[in-house]
Amino acid sequence: MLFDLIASFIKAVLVFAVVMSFVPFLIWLERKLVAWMQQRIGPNRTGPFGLLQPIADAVKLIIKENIFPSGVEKITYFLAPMMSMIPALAAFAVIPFGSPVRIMGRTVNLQVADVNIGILYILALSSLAVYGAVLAGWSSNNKYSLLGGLRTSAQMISYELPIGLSVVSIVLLTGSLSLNEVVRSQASHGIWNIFPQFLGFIILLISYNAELNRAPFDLGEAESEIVAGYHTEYSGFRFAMFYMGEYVNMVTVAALVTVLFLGGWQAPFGPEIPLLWFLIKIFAFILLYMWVRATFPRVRYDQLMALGWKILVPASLANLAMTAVIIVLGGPNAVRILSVGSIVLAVLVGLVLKAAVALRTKSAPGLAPPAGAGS
Amino acid sequence: MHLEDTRRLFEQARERFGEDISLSDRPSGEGSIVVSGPRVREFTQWARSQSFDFFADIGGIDYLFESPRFDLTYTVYSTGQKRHLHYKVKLDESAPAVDSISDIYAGANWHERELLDMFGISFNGHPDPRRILMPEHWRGHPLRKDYPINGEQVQFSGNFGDVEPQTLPPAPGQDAFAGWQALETTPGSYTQLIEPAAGPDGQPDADGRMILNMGPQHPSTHGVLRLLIELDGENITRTLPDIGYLHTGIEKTAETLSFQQALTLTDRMDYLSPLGNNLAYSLSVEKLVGVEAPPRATVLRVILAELTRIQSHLVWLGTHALDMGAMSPFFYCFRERDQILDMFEMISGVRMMTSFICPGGLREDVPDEFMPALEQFMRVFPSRVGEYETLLTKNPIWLERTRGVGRLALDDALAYGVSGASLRGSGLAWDIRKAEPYCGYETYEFEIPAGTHGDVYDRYLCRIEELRQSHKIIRQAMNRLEPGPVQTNDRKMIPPPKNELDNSMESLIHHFLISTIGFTAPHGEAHVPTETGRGLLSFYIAGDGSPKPYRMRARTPSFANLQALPVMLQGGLVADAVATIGSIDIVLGDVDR
Amino acid sequence: MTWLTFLIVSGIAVIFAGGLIFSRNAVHGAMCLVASFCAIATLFLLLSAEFIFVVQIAVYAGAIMVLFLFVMMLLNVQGQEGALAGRAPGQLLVALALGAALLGQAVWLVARGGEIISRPARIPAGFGSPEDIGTALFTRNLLPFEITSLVLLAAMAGAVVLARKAGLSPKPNGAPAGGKPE
Repeated sequence: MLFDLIASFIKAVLVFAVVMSFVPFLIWLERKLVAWMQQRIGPNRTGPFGLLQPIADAVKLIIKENIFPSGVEKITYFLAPMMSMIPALAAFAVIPFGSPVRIMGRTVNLQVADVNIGILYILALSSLAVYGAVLAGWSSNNKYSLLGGLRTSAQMISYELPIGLSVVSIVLLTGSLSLNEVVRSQASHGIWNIFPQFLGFIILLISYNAELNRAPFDLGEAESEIVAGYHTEYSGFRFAMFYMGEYVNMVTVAALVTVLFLGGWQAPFGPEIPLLWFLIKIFAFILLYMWVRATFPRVRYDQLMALGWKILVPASLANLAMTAVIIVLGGPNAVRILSVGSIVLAVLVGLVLKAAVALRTKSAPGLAPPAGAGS
Repeated sequence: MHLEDTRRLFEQARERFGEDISLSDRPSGEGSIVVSGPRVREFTQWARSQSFDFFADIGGIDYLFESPRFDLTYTVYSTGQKRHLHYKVKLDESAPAVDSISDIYAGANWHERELLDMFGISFNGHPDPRRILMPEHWRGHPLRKDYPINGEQVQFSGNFGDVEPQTLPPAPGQDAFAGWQALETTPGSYTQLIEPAAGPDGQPDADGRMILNMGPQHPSTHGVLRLLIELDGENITRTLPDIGYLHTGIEKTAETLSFQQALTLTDRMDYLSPLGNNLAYSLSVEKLVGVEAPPRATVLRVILAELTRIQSHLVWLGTHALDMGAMSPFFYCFRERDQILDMFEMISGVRMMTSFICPGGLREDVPDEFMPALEQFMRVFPSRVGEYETLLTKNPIWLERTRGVGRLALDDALAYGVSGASLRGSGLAWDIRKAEPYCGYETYEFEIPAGTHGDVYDRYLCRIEELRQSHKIIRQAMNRLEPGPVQTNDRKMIPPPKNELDNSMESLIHHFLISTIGFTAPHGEAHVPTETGRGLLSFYIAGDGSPKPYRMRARTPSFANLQALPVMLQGGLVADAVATIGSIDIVLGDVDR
Repeated sequence: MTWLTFLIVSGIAVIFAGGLIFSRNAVHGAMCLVASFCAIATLFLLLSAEFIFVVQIAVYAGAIMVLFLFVMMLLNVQGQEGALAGRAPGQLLVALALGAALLGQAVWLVARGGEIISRPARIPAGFGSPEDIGTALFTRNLLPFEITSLVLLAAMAGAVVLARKAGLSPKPNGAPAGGKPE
């Protein structure tokens, strides 16, 4: 009992420390990476390669005066940044980041809490994460913030659906809601879930980009439209909390996707080194999100909603239906059949979308041949 | 348009208007038709029926010591016949008023407001008679020649209570602001025009409508533009632009400077197209004085003007994409823009406010390093345009964001006087470089792209194509560049060369006079239309025999293009507003001047 | 240990429930309700009903209350205290009577509470697990479950009908460019 308590405590502190120390590094990484993609140098003044820049920024933000702009709803304004950060951190509690190790003759799961409903727990917490943005937007007494808060909340609620539906397909494959089980089942199937759930993987990738409020889905804080949206009125440490919340969320999501689809801590080849593969996979994910951010323009609000409701929800329903049918009929070969079926389905969905886009493009422009004022 | 054309048109109009019109030889070389005040509406309708479909400008000149005192110069273009027409209305000093033509050409609305603001001329039947550039509480009309300009403290809203409004003592028996008084609006009335539709405190009213104040400090208004947007949810139901935050009184300032000095003001108008502005100004001044730039200068002018167009378009492309959340194209565009600015720095020592093209030719010849640098740029640029296009042109998100958004019908575009790529996107390939060539553009081979739908995407495609066409023009110009002088040898404008000063007393005196006082321009008016990156730019310059412009009227493209914004925004979303503002490519310095 | 947790958590639930009733600001009230929901969810956790715990948070605290907040912000109901002014006649009396009845019930429960609480709980293995609930929903209670979903569908259709204001036509400008191929 005591051992478990102490172990849990140590794990909690460790995870907290590691995740929180990820944040400045990720901020640096994103700035540097995007800078390289855009022919810039990025931060390079503070510390080697500018590595200390996020620390300097954090110090600046923390020692800044805490301002309550006039007209804000103080209590809510004060609570909102915390409410955006806490769920992101708490969600990490159920992520398994390594295979169980033996310490002092006992087996210890590399996971803060092995809850048997881990997946549901994460979904529940991510639904709570909306409050940060909503309350910040409302309490700031600023029209842009209000618009940002409304946009963000509608967006996050909408995209929880495809996320939930895709995750349910995983649950069908695994037969358990425990994230530890999900990893083990991938080991026993001998194939990572990304293959039998390829479409689900794509859907989750897109949906989580929206859930994270990152470009091209960063409508709640679109600086060119609604001037940073729900955190327009925030400064100092409270702003830093929104910022940290965003990056912690990114780590959590990357870890979750790794566990659900990429075999968690398992090595794709070679020996299984604790944490190494897990970290590599997480970073691969985060880099992907950063790359996406540097590449795409921002979608419009109604287009984002249309994408969620008209494309992602039906596609994930189709994926769920296919998964269920094949699992029931396929028997022991279900996973193999699914691997083929899922890719076929993904290609099908892609073709349908392409056809739809082509149909719209046909009726649209292109330059008229140069005409008019003589040449 | 030649004086002969004007005369022919005048003869036609004579049948209908009889003695109410007369012919004037101003502006020089073109002439204009002087219309009596009461019949100006009728004449405008007639002009429109004579295929003058594009409304460009109404300028005002205050000939203080003449009678009648005010000259209003209307300029309309025929896009089909590729010519333009000036017609004038002369107005008396006491209570100057004329009928509004804003229902015939929608674009006249703002121009008439500007005249009301600057000259105190009232327009009967104007739908919205308010000041446009000066603050609402301003007293007096700055462009009148009798407006005090002696270093008074300026009354802005920040120090409204502390500063006495500056006015001349009214002439005996006459109120200096007669005519204006009736129209005077109280401070704050601007917002009241639109506010009653919304509930208290700017919160959504019962119909869910809300007023959103976008700007003047908003990242996507490209400067200090303020838009009052009435929203139903996120749908825009009405838009009211508020300009004048960057009004620097360039037209007034120019009247106190010599022709050479006023040139430097034009750099600062449209600060993304300084050489284009220099060119337009220089052409008008040269026409007024009656000199011509030598061939080498003309070819170099074309090269520099096209480089300016490219760098201006690059800023547009970068910021437009940035507005839509695509960060990276911005930096790619600025990479090439910096190459161009490096060249500008090479020739003039300045990156932006070059003042390099000046009346009479160029400031000096380009240095030897210029041509290799230009060659280097010309080699890489086409592939760079391809890079921008890879990121955007076929990107589904970009297509979704721009297609069908911010549409402007061709008729509206013409009536509002929208020019440049914003007009061409609506489907008319009208470009001054082709329609009324200057600087020998008729001898270059290039094409004018035009869109079909008048939406943001078509404007985008047009400008991208213009990047390529400008590249093509520069290449041709480089091939025909030959050594020679870059300044006219007309001593009216250009001081004698240095070596003469040692031998000739007269030359020394002449040099001294041109350097200190400047060259003089004869009595008269001149006007040359040009095409900058943003559209039709023309300076209407009046001389009075002194070395200073008596009046410098700048018809700027951004001013007219911005006026059509509410039409484009109608029914769109807030996000569309951002896309649309980006697509009409305004520069607030060009709007407010 | 369990007792202590129960006391703390139920105390929080009661305090925030009070906050909901007494707060004059609608958004504050909603936030109190969210906190109260979370506390009640924790009570479910103490009862080994982990699934219900998560559902309580995800559905009530996470989804429903967000929608509440959404509506409040859109309609901007804060500060409309005048709504309290319009009391029905005799409202106070009815409220008092109902309150007294509730209080009596509570007192009776507490007085006899010893018997009920001290009864040993017989929790079968897997009680409250997702499997358990799923089995219960889709076998024994299938008919009520399906009826509920029908009712919800009807409610949704009704909401859509109500929300479609007359004259709310599709916006002209957002439509895709061009109608016919060229």
